[in-house]
Amino acid sequence: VAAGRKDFEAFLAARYDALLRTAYLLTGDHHDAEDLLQQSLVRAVGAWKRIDGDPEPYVRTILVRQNISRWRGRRWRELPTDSLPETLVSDEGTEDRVALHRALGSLAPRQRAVIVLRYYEDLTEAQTAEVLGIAVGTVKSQTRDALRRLRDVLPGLADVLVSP
Amino acid sequence: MATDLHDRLRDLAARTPSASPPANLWDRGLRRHRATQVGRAVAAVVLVALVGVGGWTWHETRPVEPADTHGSAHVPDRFFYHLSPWTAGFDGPPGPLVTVLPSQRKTVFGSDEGLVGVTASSGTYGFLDLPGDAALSPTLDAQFAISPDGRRLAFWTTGAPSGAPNTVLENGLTLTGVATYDTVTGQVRRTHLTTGHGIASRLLLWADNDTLLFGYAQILGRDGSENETTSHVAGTEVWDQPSGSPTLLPTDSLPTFADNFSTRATTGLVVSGSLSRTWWVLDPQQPARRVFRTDQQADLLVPSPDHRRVAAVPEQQNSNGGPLVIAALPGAGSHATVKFRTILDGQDWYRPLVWTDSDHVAALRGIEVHDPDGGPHIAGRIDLVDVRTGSSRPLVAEWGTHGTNDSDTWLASGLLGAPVVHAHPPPTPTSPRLLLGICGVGLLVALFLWRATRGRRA
Repeated sequence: VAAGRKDFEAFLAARYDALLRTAYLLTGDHHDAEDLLQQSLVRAVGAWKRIDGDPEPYVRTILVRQNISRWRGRRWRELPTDSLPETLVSDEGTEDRVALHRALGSLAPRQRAVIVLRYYEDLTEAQTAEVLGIAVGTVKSQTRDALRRLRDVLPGLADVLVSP
Repeated sequence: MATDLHDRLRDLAARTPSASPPANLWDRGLRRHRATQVGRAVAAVVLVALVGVGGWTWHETRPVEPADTHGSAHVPDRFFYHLSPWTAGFDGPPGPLVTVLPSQRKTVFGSDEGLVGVTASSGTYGFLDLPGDAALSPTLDAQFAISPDGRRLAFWTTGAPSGAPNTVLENGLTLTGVATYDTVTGQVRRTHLTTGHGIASRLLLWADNDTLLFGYAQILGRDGSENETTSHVAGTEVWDQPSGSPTLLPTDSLPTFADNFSTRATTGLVVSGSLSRTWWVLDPQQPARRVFRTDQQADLLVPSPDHRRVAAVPEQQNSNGGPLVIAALPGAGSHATVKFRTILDGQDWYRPLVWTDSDHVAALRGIEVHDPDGGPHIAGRIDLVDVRTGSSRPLVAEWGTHGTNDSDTWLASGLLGAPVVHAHPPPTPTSPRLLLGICGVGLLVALFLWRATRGRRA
């Protein structure tokens, strides 16, 4: 147990901020991101001894799936709103970030996860499929649909909307 | 291109403020892990318990396999009367029955009167699936009759009379017919009786394995006591099963009010009496009217298979029982008064049931038993008596309906000569209602545990 705690804390020291950024891209809210990440890490503790090798893929898988699960549990309890939950700090590029933030917010959780995993985490389609627990073909279609949606919201990203 | 989206995502993510992880994440994770394990263990135990209880109940209540209808008959050494209302039904014709026992039958959504049959081949108890119009009211006279070989069960049926029904059953139904159920083929034969307001059952008795006697009175259309509503016009019909339809017997063949309390038959010969010690003999071999008297009053006379003797228990003052006696059956044309000869003295013989052969009578005897629940009481026991020597031995330890001879026709009399075997008590299935309740509680517990575990996860 002591060794597990030590490894776990070392992992947190090294990767907490990176995972928090991924969580932020998945949720669009800093508080939600921290909450999601902590819940995912708490869940990961139960299987920590069984993780062979780098624990980050396992934690990332929990993070993504937990976010989708949370969204399913919340969507009937929450009212949609047009206003963003928080305001980004205004500086150079703020307009682009706000636009991207809005665009990501318009995606379904799985589509958003596909975008984050494919274009932020640089995972392959197969790796993305494994993280989400879906077929590679579904990843492709989800990617296609998500990019089409982003193109509608972000005209400046039009050139991107070809699957790499 | 794609790099542009990658960069813009990195740029957006980089705006996330740096944070330190809480110090207690590991401990929270351990607590959650333990709680999840406990929840899963409890849920597994609940699930296993539900499956176990469900499987056991299914096993107990599944339909009873039909008996080997060609198997040899046996007589159980006792009958069991405290039957579960959840006793299973037979999955098809049960085969010859040694007896039937009225019992309440429950379903998940209700309960009703039912009839349990006990198979002659294996002593299995199971509810009979009689037609829906079978009259199972416990208040009926002459309610059921099993043929001597246990193959056919006769019962009354309900229906709509031609006029306004003047009901006699507590459930508001009106008797309008007679039916027989073949326990081997499952075939039901019916006869509808012409009646304006319904009938009152009086006689239902098998003269032999194929011939049913039945008698009834017509109910009148007016209100009042039974004497005012029941017609005094009565008759007895004979229904030969292989040939088809019933026919009305000549009015002087049997007493006007021949009933199950005073009429018995053996291999086609019927003896029926009245309170005036006068007895009628209906003998297919000798159509001439035969009437004789006995020197003592008796409820009934049981003819022997050779049609030469009768067995009886004369009425005694201040006693439910008496000695077991026999008498010679007078021939045709005789109007003699026959005298009983005592075979076994005493006050504990209730009545003869059947001659198992020319020398042995199965008779009902009152025996004091000590029930651990109800204290000492008199139970009916069937003994086999050798009329040559007066010796007797127990045959069936308990015949629960000894209080009235109306129910002697519930016993397949011809099977009492079959080998006696040790009887095993019928299963007592658990109430499916209780099972549903347990399942409901179990599911609620499982749902609660799942929600609790899910709450910890979320």
